[in-house]
Amino acid sequence: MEVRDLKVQFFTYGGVVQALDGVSFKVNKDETLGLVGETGCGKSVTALSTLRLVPPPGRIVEGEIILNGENLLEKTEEDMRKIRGRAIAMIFQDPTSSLNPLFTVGFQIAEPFIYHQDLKKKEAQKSAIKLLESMHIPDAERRARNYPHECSGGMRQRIMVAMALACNPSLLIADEPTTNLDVTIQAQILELMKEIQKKHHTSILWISHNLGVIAEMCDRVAVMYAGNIVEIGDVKTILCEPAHPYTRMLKECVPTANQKKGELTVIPGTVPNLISPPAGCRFHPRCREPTDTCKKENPIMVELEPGHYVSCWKYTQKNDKMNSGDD
Amino acid sequence: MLDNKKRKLLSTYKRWRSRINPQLKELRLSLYVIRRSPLALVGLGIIAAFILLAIFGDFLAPYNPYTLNLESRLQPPSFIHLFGTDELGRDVFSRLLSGAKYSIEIGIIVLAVSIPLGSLLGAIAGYFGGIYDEVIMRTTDVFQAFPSLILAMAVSAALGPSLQNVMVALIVVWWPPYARLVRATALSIRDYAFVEAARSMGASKARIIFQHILPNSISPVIIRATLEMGAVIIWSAGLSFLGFGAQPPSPEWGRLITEGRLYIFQAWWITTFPGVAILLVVLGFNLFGDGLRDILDPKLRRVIEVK
Repeated sequence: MEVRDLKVQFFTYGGVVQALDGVSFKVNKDETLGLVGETGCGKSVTALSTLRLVPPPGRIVEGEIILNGENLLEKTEEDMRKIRGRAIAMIFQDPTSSLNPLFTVGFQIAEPFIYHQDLKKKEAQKSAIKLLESMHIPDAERRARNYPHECSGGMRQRIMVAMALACNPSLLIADEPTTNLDVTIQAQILELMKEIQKKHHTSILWISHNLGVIAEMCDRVAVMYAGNIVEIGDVKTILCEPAHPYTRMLKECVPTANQKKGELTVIPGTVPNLISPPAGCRFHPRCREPTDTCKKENPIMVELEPGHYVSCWKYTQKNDKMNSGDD
Repeated sequence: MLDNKKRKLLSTYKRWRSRINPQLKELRLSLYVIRRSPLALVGLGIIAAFILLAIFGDFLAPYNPYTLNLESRLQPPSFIHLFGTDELGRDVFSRLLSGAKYSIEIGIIVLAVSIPLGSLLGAIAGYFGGIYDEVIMRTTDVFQAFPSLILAMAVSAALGPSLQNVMVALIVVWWPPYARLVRATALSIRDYAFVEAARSMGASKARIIFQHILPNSISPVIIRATLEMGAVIIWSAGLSFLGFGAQPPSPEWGRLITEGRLYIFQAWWITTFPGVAILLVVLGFNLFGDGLRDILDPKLRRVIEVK
């Protein structure tokens, strides 16, 4: 799947919120792309946009979302409905409220089979139980008859994963799927997702603000700030040698075990108001080394090394100098 | 051979038992909750008696409710005529028994039409919002702008006096509050994560409304419905009393009161007994409705379960 120059805006009373301002990235087959950033930087909106489920008053104003060679933004709503759950599936953050409390989990897992594969209720139920077994849920048949409130948080998240995987999607969007779980369950879910990816060759778009989880799961990482992707590259490169000032500061914020007691590192300032974002680079008010160019003009994405892209004037200017020096 | 069959049957039964066990447990809890509330039990008893009367009233009546007997007109209550006779010598007790079916019929039909209608419209308004919401809600506003009794009278007057038209009139008056009630819950439910998850799974709009919105907003509707069953009965009797509903010689309860009205000073029994009957039935539904609210209130349930 490839997203090109995606712009999403929310038309609110207070003004137009430029939630996504030209986001481009690509998720290759069999690969996990991590999407990191602070709260409100547009991660979830990106996820919902790929399913074309941006809640009103939000709208996709520009861009292309290409899945298997077709632009999803040109599809009709009915075609889109068939894509959701079959080609692209999503796992939500909160497994507690993502299941309808009134129906058994077996019934709910059977739903996508009924929508997309025209299975009869009984067959769908059987497929649902098989699916639960493949999620390592013990006594799946009995579990399928439980209601959501009878399942633990980890169990519910596994059920959500099962639902998302029901129709073998080519892309799985995981919107912070482990945020509300405790660490041991987190590890189990992560293992499960890895196993599934190996088995079904699913591409995953993994949204998180937990750098540890990202390091564990992803092949490549895109860092978002205020509706822009500021840096994208290999997971090792991004986490070990980040180039963008924002990524560096983000990394410094992660507390380490041998850190002395005291205050945690923070990035000063807050995410800018996206109704009137700062001119030039959107990060410059919080950046440690802003220049005059940063305040005036939007930086351009440059390739530092193969596959490692950064949008920061620091590198553009260096490259320019290098180029002119060569001349 | 036979033993084998028996064992097979037994194991099937056991499996079935274990499958419905959670439901049984819920049911048992419900029964327990309602047993703890004597008033609700009284309500339930009255309703049960009323329904039995509606079904078997015609057979139980000691006299033919339509036969005139001018010799024994305006008889006071006695062992021969339990509730006395009316101005045409008809047995009031028999007419009362035979008239029970009209009230329950109107009550059930009016609610059975207006609740699904109102709920569906409310769910559509709440889920889709925007222009749908605006159109549906403004329509309910129009209906609710009239005093409802006047509106019901106007509708049945326009359609002509008959029992069917009273039902139509009551349905017209009855659906808007349900639409508003369901809309309000639908508004909050449409933002729940499971609705979003269903959408992301490729569920159609109809499916979301019927599977997620309606079932999750139905419990206030059920409570309101039991509380309102009594109201529908009062209203239909009221409309009949005013001459819009059942026509003579039908023994509809409102009708009985109208007919006895002229003789109220000489023969109090003609109006009093149908009046008491209406009072009891409505009281029964209200008491039961209150009890049902307790059963369906998950918070209260939890408290009882813990005890």
